[in-house]
Amino acid sequence: MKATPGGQYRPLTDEGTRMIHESALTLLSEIGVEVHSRLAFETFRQRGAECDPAKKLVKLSRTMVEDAVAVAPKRVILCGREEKHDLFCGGKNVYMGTGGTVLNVIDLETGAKRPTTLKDVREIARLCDALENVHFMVLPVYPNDLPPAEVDINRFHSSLINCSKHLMGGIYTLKGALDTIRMAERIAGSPQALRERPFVSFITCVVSPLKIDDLYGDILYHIAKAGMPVAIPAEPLTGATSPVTIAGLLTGLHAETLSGVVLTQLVNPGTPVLYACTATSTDLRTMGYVSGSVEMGLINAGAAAMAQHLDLPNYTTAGMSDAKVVDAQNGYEKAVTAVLVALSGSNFIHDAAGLVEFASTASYKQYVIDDEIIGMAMRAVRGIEVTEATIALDAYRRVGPGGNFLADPHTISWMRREHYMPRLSDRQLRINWEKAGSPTVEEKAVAAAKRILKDHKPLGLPGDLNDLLRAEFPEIRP
Amino acid sequence: MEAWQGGQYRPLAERDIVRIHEAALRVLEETGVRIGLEEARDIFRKRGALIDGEIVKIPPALAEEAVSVAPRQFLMAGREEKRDLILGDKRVHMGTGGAALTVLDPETGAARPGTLRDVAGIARLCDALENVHFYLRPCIPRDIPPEVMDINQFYAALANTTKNVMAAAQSPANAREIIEMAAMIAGGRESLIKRPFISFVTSWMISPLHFADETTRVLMEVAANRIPVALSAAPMAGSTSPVTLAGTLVQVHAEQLSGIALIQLAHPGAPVLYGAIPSLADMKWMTYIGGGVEFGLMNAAVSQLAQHIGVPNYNSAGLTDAKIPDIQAGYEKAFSLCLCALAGANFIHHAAGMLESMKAVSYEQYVIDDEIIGMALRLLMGIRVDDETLGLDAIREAGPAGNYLASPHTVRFMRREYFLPAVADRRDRESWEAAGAQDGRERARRLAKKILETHRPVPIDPAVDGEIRKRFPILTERERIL
Repeated sequence: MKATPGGQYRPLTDEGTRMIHESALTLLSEIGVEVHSRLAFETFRQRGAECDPAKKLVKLSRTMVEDAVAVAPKRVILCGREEKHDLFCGGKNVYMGTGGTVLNVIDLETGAKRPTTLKDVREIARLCDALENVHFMVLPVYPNDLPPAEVDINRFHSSLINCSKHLMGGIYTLKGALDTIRMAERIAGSPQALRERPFVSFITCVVSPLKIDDLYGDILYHIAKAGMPVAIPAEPLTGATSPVTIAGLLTGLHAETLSGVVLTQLVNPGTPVLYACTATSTDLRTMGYVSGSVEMGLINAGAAAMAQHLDLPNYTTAGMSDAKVVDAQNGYEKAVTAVLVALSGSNFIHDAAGLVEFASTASYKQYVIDDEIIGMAMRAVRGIEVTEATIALDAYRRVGPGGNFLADPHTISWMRREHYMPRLSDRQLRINWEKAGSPTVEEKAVAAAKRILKDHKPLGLPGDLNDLLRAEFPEIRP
Repeated sequence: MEAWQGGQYRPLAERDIVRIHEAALRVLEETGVRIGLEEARDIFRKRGALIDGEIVKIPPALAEEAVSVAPRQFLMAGREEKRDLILGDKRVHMGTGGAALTVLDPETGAARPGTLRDVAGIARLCDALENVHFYLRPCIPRDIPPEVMDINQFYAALANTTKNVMAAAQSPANAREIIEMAAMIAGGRESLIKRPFISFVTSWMISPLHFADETTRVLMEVAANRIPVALSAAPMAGSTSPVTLAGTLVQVHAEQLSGIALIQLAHPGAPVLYGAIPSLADMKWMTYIGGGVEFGLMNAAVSQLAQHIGVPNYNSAGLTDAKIPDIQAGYEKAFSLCLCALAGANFIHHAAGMLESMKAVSYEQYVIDDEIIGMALRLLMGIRVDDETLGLDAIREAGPAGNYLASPHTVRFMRREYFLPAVADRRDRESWEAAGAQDGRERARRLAKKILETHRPVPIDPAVDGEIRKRFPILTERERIL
């Protein structure tokens, strides 16, 4: 996909960025990280980190961090199964897509909230395959109708047959991760072919503050060993699992995600890894988690700036809302965070489509609405092109004072390139809008989602390949 | 008032600003502007501009020299000092705007014509909304005779808010009358000039590049009186300016340079706002588009162009093409408000209350937009990084897998670092449903209603008010403002 660079918005000064980085290095070397995964702990120990087995504490020196950052790839290409969906993560290139994982969905037919199933995994994948501003899919929902052991492979398989964009997913079991990699290798044709064009990737996490737990440490170890792309987010919450100040949160986040980056590079130098942030703020009246706060946007734009400081590709979060319905709050919360983080030049902005209610619930119609918001944010990132042709002195000479540009050839040749055409936003006069029955954005989004689910044919997998997969992985549901 | 500093977002690179500026100078030199008003043409003629019929071609040196005389900074006062705004640099202020014909009735929600009571009621509402920094008359009172409209909208606004009041005048005589009334409130002409709590907006430009006769007269009159004036020009990309964003920016910059030059040649040092409002036309419906993301991009960019020539700027953000306070209104407004605030625009009008681009306003939308502006202002505070906010001691204390809820660091900073929304609902679905499952519009409507019932703005001195009523045809009943 054509890369659109951001960076027109700078949430941190150079001095601020440097201070946060230095403070995080102090944290890692002085306080250290609790590492509960034995595999991870041993890796750190064998490579010379200062370790305290009784406390499970690992202290990382400045050199260790700097060495890992130096060998980590500066550019990570997250591929689609079709080349047009390839994402060139790194620098200030901006891509936006879905996020999860949630347990509930707003049903498209009834409008009611209900638990998600494997059918939702499929249908949301198909919907996102068709939405042109959704650049990638982070697997958004959990199939509550499957036994836990079958969740990972089915989430990926169901998404693969419905969406040819890059698929990144959280993972629940180590076996699930390894099976998914093996399945993807079959689809790619060989292990080598998958490493060359990785169309799946994974998310593990560091627990804030400063803890690598047992399961995610092990999974991260194995994914790195397999050389597959992985994002390592930490989710500090201001005042709860991080200091209440944004600078304090970014310091902790920076230390946490870097501890994961270091681990991957120790396990397998050159592992494609994304510096990652899913941090947000809490509401100080209740100390409850919020996802649509303006500070959330500042935090994630700040995280992108910290990753850029080290020239590491990054994964951040934006475009969420705490609203329960399709209302004004839903619109402004999503837009504020989406545009901030996009303009800061973050590479892989997830959770930007489809979520409502603190990112706790997916909603079909919301994917269509957010596709529009992302389209606008990306138009802002594309910015103002200033060239002789766009300045258009010749058009002025033709039109003159008091004239009109409507019929000028310059207008015809540039209108589509310069102006984003919304699908849902209404631009009619009130009188015409009322004559049309005062259609709401929500109604239009529901109709669009239904139309896509009825008509859209994804790339899918060849039938014989699919048969082979089912034979090798009997857990795959029909 | 607290000064909010923007500039963290720079839509135009430095070299692009220069390119646009140079191109605008070329437009003024080669294409020129059309000026029907002879006295205005004469001002340019005397200083060496080339006149061909009504076309005035302004040499770049003349434009730049004239513009350099404009003040880089000036005061737009409130009736109360705490509402004062210092315009200039990248200090951001946001407020209302518009000349809407339609108001969504706060009780019924139905679209109806705006009235004088709305001009007063919305002023009162905005007087109480803390993130609305000034009051540009938002709707046209369609229930009163047009010949007494100018003085009455100023009066209704001034009586209901102490924030700076801006509106238009239809003739130089009307402008004089309004200034006279304001001088009575100020306690004299000199006091008013020293602390101008009124200001004017003049749509003197018929884009592209054509001065409107009568409005140009009004503009000259206001400038002669040393009252701040915004030079409003709002071409639509694809119709009254080139379809490209850069092309439209060239034109609005050329238009502003020509208008500012005229004022400064006639009245050197008169306080003037660079007032470009680049917008776009919808190619399908042929309507004016305020909610397009390109609108935000261009209006953010004009503040860079104004900063480049050192003239405080007036621009627009917060428009939407939505007809009601819905999700479209939410996202469209959020985009342009954030972009323009972060670009460091000085006087962002239309920032609250508008719907249907510039055609309608709604009481509840003011409350919603006060919240969006609050978020945008929070962005301007940015991320404070110092030894205290880095919080290393707090992190040491909590340690790995610890918790910060009870940390003294949390208690100390929690209020400073976070914007607290009034409209946004942050409860879980169950609690929200139990409380009546109101959407954002309904929550805002109730907040607006409460303000209108309880808020009492600082009134105009009763003795002065009596004098004003004797002297001018004031239609707002006295009991309505007490």
